[in-house]
Amino acid sequence: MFASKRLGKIQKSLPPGIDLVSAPDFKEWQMDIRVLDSNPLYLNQTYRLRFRFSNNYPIEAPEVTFTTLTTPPRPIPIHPHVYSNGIICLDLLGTQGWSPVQNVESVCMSIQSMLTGNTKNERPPGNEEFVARNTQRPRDIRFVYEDSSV
Amino acid sequence: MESTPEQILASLLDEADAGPTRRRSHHPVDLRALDYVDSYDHNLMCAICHSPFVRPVTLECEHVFCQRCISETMFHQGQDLRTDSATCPSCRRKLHHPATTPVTKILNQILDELRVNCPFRSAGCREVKHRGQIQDHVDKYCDYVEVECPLETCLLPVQRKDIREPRCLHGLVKCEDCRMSFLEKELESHQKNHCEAGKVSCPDCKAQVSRRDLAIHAEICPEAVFPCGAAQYGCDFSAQLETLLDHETTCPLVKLVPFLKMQNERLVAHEAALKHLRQKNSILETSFSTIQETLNPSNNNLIDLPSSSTTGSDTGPFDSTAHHLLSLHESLREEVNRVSAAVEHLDAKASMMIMNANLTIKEDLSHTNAAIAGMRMQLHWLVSARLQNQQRVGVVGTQRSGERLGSTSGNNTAGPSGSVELPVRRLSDSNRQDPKL
Ligand SMILES: [Zn+2]
Ligand SMILES: [Zn+2]
Ligand SMILES: [Zn+2]
Ligand SMILES: [Zn+2]
Ligand SMILES: [Zn+2]
Ligand SMILES: [Zn+2]
Ligand SMILES: [Zn+2]
Repeated sequence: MFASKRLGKIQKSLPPGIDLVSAPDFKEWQMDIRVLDSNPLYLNQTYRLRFRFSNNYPIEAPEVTFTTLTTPPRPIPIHPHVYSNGIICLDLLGTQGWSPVQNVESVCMSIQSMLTGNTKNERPPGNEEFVARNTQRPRDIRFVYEDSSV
Repeated sequence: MESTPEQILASLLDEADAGPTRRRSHHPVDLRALDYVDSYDHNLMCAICHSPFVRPVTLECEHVFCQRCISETMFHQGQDLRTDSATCPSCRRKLHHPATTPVTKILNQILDELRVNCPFRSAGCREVKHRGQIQDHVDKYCDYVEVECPLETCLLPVQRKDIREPRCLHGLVKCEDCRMSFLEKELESHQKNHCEAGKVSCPDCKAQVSRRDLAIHAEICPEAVFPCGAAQYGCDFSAQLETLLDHETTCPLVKLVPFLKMQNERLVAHEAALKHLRQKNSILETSFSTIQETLNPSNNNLIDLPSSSTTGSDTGPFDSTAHHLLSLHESLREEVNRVSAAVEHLDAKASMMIMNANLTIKEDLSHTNAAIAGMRMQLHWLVSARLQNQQRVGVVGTQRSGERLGSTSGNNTAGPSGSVELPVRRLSDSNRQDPKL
């Protein structure tokens, strides 16, 4: 499959604030992202993103979530589109919004800019309920992308 | 012609497999997964698979993708979104029918002439072939493709080069140098490439060294020629180790090395930064086109109606949202002008019609008036004629009841013809009408 060759091409020098942590195979990758400007919500924090690629990548969207870690400290960023279990509500990652011309780098940059532009120190509405009952895989959840500005 | 989108997609997927190189092969080569030896123009790279286009096709929006890439994407979109209309992965424009046009032959020829490594390079094949011939190479010639063992009872695969001796190479043998056991078919490659204890000769001093020690020997080999430490920055000098050390104490470039290195690093960092900016820009551009697309449908409703009846010139692409909105505004203003002119015209027409109708009605009315006047005259005449008649009859009647007639002449009429009601009524009518006329 050409996907592994495509993934293997990932640049040695990633954009600032984005680092490849581990890529043992072409199934699951870990990336670290930081917000570059001085947004007080995310100042001096690094967040861990987990990418999961299906056999159908890049035709199919990767599954991208934030994950927590204690050492080094990697919390889940507070954002009105990020649930406290790490699931991200970003139309780019949904079946509808994904396009095979996207790649790991561009997804990271989109999430980075989603955080950069945020000013609300809050979780999505209905967060507790969603986190308590959700057992679906992120890709299968039908989000309503009420607000396309973020 | 009347095939459903699914059928078209299925046929596209089929076609993608059925090239001229197709044959019942155990190793169909995915040209998108190959290692390209030649560098190629980045415009020839498919945005989905990131390799040079394979049988490229053009979409309605003029974006180009490999046939398989776009078919798989559209198939996936159709499955997941359950819609008939797919969208272009690059610009997200709606594709109204999944039909795609192949690109010109010359482009396919250019692409098929790109040279690639044999996909069995890791197995040992060093062949570099034109992309168009690689399937043929794998199917017929590549020595490192695995085929069935010549021994019919043996089910293990063997490389094509090893079936020239028609015997099974799947027995165990020992390497004489390192005393490890291998399948006979793997022994040769082990001895040639991997055996740590096997002897190889140093390319410089021709001494026999074991493979394990070759790397260490290479650094101290007295015969080996090393380049100057500043070779990277332009010093052509190279010599054997002893002479080289002397040179490096005097070479001016060697002293510049740290500085040049720093400059180089700075340059690389700038290039990387530029690349990131470019990428960011392209992301912004895509999101901008999404915004434009969300703006578009509402505009179409407004613009299409007037433009289809008037000019139809303002549906072209716009270089900015502001421009777009301005032109929309302009077309709305024109439309308002048109409507108000039409209203004025209708107003004039209506008042003309009313005036015309009024004239005829007036004329009719005067005709009627004249007729009524004539009739009144006639009635008058008839009434007076009748009265005279009655007076004459009354002269005769007085002989029977002279009193009654003498008192009231108006009521008299009822008197004599009391049995006949009609005349009475008509008379009273004409009486009432009198003051009106
Ligand atoms: Zn492609
Ligand atoms: Zn397009
Ligand atoms: Zn080969
Ligand atoms: Zn055998
Ligand atoms: Zn050995
Ligand atoms: Zn030597
Ligand atoms: Zn030198």
